[in-house]
Amino acid sequence: MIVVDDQLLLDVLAGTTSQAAERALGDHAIATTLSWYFRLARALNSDRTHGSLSRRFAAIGDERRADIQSSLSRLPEAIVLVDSRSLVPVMVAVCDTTRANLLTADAIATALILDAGIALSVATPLLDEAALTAHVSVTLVQ
Amino acid sequence: MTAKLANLPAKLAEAVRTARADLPEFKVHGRPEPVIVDPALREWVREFSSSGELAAAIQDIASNDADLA
Repeated sequence: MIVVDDQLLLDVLAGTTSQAAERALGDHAIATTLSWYFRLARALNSDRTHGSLSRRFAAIGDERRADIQSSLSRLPEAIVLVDSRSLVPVMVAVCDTTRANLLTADAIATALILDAGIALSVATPLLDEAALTAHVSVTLVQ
Repeated sequence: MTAKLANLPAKLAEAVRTARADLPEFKVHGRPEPVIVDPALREWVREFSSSGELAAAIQDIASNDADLA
């Protein structure tokens, strides 16, 4: 299993993974975190994204645009998400061990619980540092 | 105990061990099927992602919330 960040999650949901992502993800089952899922859903519903959708799909109706956003922001059952009841105690223990914000604690705890690696689309120094401390492997996919 | 847990501080290893014991069985095998099947919509996602628009929208969120950076 591999834990993916928000940008890779979107590519998995849409079936638009790059060759580099294909190599990194292989045939692994995919997991993500609440923080990355939340950030993606917010990004897809931001004013900036509404503008982009409107420009690219000017010819289609509001209903169709809403469908696009809805299908991309609803997480299918096939994407693994660890229950908060299991996750939070591990997140707290991660924060006792290393410097971490919510997103980093969420990612490291998820990877540890699932015994999985993490695939990132953007380098994140705080996450890299925490991953090193927690012996979690991180792959940067660009 | 897996090799990975053996390398962790005791408190963190114990928390992970407890969480794993409570974990439900995930009935997932391999990569999930994409939820977007319309080629035009896929093309939009590809452009949205590769143009930097998604990264910019995410950066907006992260800039306003250090916990999501």
